[in-house]
Amino acid sequence: MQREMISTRQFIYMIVLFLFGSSAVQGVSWGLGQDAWIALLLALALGSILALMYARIIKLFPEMNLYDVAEVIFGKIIGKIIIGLMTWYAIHLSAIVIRLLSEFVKIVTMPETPQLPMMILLFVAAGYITFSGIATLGKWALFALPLYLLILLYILILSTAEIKFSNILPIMEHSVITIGSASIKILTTTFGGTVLFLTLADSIKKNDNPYKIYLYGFFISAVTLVVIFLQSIMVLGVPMVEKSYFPSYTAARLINIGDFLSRIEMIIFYNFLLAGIAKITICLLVAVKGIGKLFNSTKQGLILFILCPFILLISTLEFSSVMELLNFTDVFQYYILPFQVIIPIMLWVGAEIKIGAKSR
Amino acid sequence: MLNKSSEENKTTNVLSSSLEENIDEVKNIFVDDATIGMRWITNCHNTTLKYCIVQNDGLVSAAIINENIIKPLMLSKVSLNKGQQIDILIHQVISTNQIKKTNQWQEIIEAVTYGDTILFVDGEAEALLLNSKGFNTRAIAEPSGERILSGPREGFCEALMINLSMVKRRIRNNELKIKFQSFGVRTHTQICICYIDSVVNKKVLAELYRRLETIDIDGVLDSNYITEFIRDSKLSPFPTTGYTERPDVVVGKLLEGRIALFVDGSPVVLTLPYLFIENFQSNEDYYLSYYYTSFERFLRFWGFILSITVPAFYIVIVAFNQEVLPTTLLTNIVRERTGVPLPAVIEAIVMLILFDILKETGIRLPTGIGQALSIVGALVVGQSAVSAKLVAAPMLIVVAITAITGLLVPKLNAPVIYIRMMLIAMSATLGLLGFIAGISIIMTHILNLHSFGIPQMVSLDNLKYQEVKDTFVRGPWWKMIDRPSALTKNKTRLSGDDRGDND
Amino acid sequence: MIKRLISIVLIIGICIPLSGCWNYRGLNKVSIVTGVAIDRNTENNNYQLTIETIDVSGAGKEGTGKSQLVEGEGKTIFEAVRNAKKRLSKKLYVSDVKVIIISNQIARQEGIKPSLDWFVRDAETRETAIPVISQEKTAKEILAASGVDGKIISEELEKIINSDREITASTKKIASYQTFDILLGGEKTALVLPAVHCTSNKDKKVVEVNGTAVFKEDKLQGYLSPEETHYYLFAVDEIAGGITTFPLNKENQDSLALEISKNKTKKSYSYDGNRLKVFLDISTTAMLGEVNFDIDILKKNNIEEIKLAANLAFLQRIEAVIQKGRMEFNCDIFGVGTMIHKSDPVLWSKLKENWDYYIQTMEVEVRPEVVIVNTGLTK
Repeated sequence: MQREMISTRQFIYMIVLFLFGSSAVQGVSWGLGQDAWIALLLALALGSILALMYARIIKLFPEMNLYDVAEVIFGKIIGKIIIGLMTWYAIHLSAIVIRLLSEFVKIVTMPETPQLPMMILLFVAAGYITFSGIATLGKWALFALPLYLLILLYILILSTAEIKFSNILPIMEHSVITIGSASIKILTTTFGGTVLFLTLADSIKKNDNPYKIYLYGFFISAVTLVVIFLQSIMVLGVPMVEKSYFPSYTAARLINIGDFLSRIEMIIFYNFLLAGIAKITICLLVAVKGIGKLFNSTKQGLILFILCPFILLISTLEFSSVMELLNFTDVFQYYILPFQVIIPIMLWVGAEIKIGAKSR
Repeated sequence: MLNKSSEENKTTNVLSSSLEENIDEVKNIFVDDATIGMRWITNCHNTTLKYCIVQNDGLVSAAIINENIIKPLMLSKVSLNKGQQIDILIHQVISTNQIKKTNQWQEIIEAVTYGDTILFVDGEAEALLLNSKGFNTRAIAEPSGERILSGPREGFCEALMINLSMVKRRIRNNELKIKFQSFGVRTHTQICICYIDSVVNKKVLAELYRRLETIDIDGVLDSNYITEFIRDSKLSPFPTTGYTERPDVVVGKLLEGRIALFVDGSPVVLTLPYLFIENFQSNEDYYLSYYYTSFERFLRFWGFILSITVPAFYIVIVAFNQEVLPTTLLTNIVRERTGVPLPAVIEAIVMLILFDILKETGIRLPTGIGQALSIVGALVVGQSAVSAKLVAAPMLIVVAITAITGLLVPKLNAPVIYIRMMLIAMSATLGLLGFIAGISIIMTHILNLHSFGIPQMVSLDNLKYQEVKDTFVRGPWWKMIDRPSALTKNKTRLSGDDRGDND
Repeated sequence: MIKRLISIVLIIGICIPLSGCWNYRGLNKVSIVTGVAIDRNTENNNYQLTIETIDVSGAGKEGTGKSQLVEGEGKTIFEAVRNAKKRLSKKLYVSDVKVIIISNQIARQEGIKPSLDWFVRDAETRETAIPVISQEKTAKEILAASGVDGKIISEELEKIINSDREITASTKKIASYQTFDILLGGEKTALVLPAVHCTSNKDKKVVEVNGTAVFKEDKLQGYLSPEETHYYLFAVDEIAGGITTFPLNKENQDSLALEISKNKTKKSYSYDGNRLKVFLDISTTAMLGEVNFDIDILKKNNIEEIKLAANLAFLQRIEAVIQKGRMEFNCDIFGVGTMIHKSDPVLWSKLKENWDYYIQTMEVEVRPEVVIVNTGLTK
């Protein structure tokens, strides 16, 4: 599979869509009530540090992806272990996202439909994009993100009738520690996932600036998430936001203009699916690449074909209900630390040493 | 048998010097073909000079043969020696505008079957091919499939040379390159490859030649035969080469760096490479005011989207997510649907197929019956279907919108049908999820389309004005500074600084 | 190889249509619900639901048609709704529910929170439905009455309540999600819901909106009459229309009518360690709509007099309503708790525990300011 180049803008859009993935509809309250947006901004600040580290790794090894870098720095055996771990992370993440997406659909609109066909359909859609390669994904992202933002803007404008600014008060009601720990949770579950983009880094052109890519991506998505959250809180009020599974969906249900333009929450549905498909596609791409590298094969189609049922199995068997899925986030934030922090730090330190040694 | 004899003769000296032997061979080759006529001629001043012309009745112009071939041969006073006549005949006697000499039987067969006259000279081992084509072609008229409001109305006809002449008249430049090839094992159809040297993308040209060599077919009757051999994405319903019947369109595309492919016997000319946006462009856009045509472009674009998504969306709303409808509308639709036996999906599919049937018959029928049939079809079937409660009235509206918008973009009429059905099927099983997943799949497919190595959807990476000036809107001509960068590296279209900012 | 591939694809592809389209809901099998009335059956302690649906056969020619009432009984609301299906051939489609009418017994005795849970939890129901308290003996009577305008009571009710804010300002518009907000929030603001009763109009029993019902936590405490609700709306800054009548001075009857066009109420408080003092600054812009006696409006003195009389009337009546809310119902009727919470959470956490005490002992000062901009066509 030849390497295809992606432009900066496409990469940024991909990162933003990935970060929207599940967070935009699921909401980021996590027990903080109206102060969650502060936690979000804090997570953005912390995430930027992570991003700087990721971008540095990319910059040190231009046009090479994480798998190649791991092998170069650590040699074949440890390199292959790292590749395996990253691939597993991608597989697990895509299983979770698919499960979340189909749960959303099932709860909200189609209670009687079994989840398996929904998941299969999502795999067909995401798998097709994966199969077409990263160039197609980049172009798809170029279309999808503006559409997403446009819809968001539309909902925002329409819900101004229901907004009550006083719902965000009081600010900083919760202690700094609570906010801090919640922001770490947000950091790992949302922003940290972008470590997967390191494996796609061989599509960034040599002269493009990876810092710009990561930081822009983080910034845009954080701002949009804050806006979404603020809109949900201001329309629904804190107790309802805490109680609903999907606050922005519930908020969109209240829009009622002139008696004919109401009940357009289908649009949120569309948004969620779009971002979800993007996230699944990216995870699939990473996984397929990883397995290809592990077993030295280039038959992407075959790998994809085998991988999908495997992920299906994981997602159906892992959780028995939505509650378990959402409770898993508590464990998830610790479980993914090795992937998001430890491995990149190892790589980064190793890279600095290696590059330092070379230049001497 | 034919091949064998011409192959045998090809290896050896094809023609013999004896006139009788040559003529016998001709009679052999064209046995059972009663239209090949022969005329024996002798020069009246030197009766030892014998000639025979072989002509294909119906394809030749009798006037040319009489005046320019038979008469000079008969009356020529030039002294000719046997064995050395050919050159003198060519230069001093025969007065046709094109002469070629040959000794290959294959060439002779191809020439005779196209309307040339063959002159066999007694004592010479070469024959002369004389241009005497005089077949009738269709008059130049506006093509019925590409009508416009204002602008040139010439359309291609079936003769290759006349088509080429229409294009050459519009590009009075020596950079226009024209090359001939022939395809079709049995038909030996001529095709012509045309491009402007300084703007064309050389890689695409090389790729085109490479693909043309892989063509292996019986006969080529229309340019579409060639398309299907050389196109990318062979399984996709979307077109990857453009086609047109108008010379002004061809010239416009040549000027942007594309390559045109003419096929003898077909008025349809191929242009490649092909960008997706060309499905929505029409040449008329450049002949009318750009405000008007920008709006038209929008309409076409939205028409395409509506045509694909409206039936599926309607099913999603009516069968899965009824909450979108306000109560009054909901009550009305429920009332309409209570009497109807079929579920909405089946209705939609049946009505769409019915409409396609009507459209097909409308095209094929002679004009008199066509009118009556459309009245019958539309009014009677539609109206009475509703009154008989076989179909719900909102469904008719939906189908009407779909069908009419589908006619807005004729180049995409093939994919539209299939995509529409696929979307209906997906939204009927899985509601909104199916609809959205279907749209994502279609979008991916369109993004994947390539045409001769160039991706059909140019990425919106640099949203500069010069990239989009001719896509969703039609920018004014004084702003059309660059050619599409995907097609050619020779970007600047306008010379000098004329950017329209006068005074 | 190709054959295997195709067969695998086919197998997966067939899975989808074979099982049918599970959630395909043909519209001809659906019965649109517009309103639900909840009662408690005293004999077996079940919920008794009366569901109003649209009868589509009459629709089209005469507006949106007639309504049908279906009853269902069950131990919980969800069960009652499903049980109603036992008498109905079509499935109930609850996405259009406009009002939820709760009987006052349920509201008084057990509170409305259990009844409302299903309406918020279920994915199909709307959170914009308006919960309403019926002042009649049962909630069912409201739906069984006839409306003046149309035949579908829930739609009527919804339209009346929606337009009330700007026209009559005699009741409060609140949706079920806001209800939930107030019930679940920790600020102990009193919940106020519209109250509905039946009156007779031309010998027909019709439904009329009659002020509001005041709750403490989620149990009904009492009612505010339409006029009291009018002044209550001033206190919570939700008034945008309506008529106020007041006397010019003590001798006259109520003889001047002001039409409110704009109003802004600013709440502020001060806490001195012991007692809470709350200030309400009310600035109203109004138009003089009717004068029942002779008076020359243009004279400056007269305008001042009218203004003073208006201010006085507002002052007295608003204070009366607040007093009623505090003393009689013992609840924080106009959101002091919320105000304190939002501006000073530390203070709020201190006051929270003895909030009842503070409500009873707080001082309220109302400072109305009325501006009369015009007086109609005549002087």
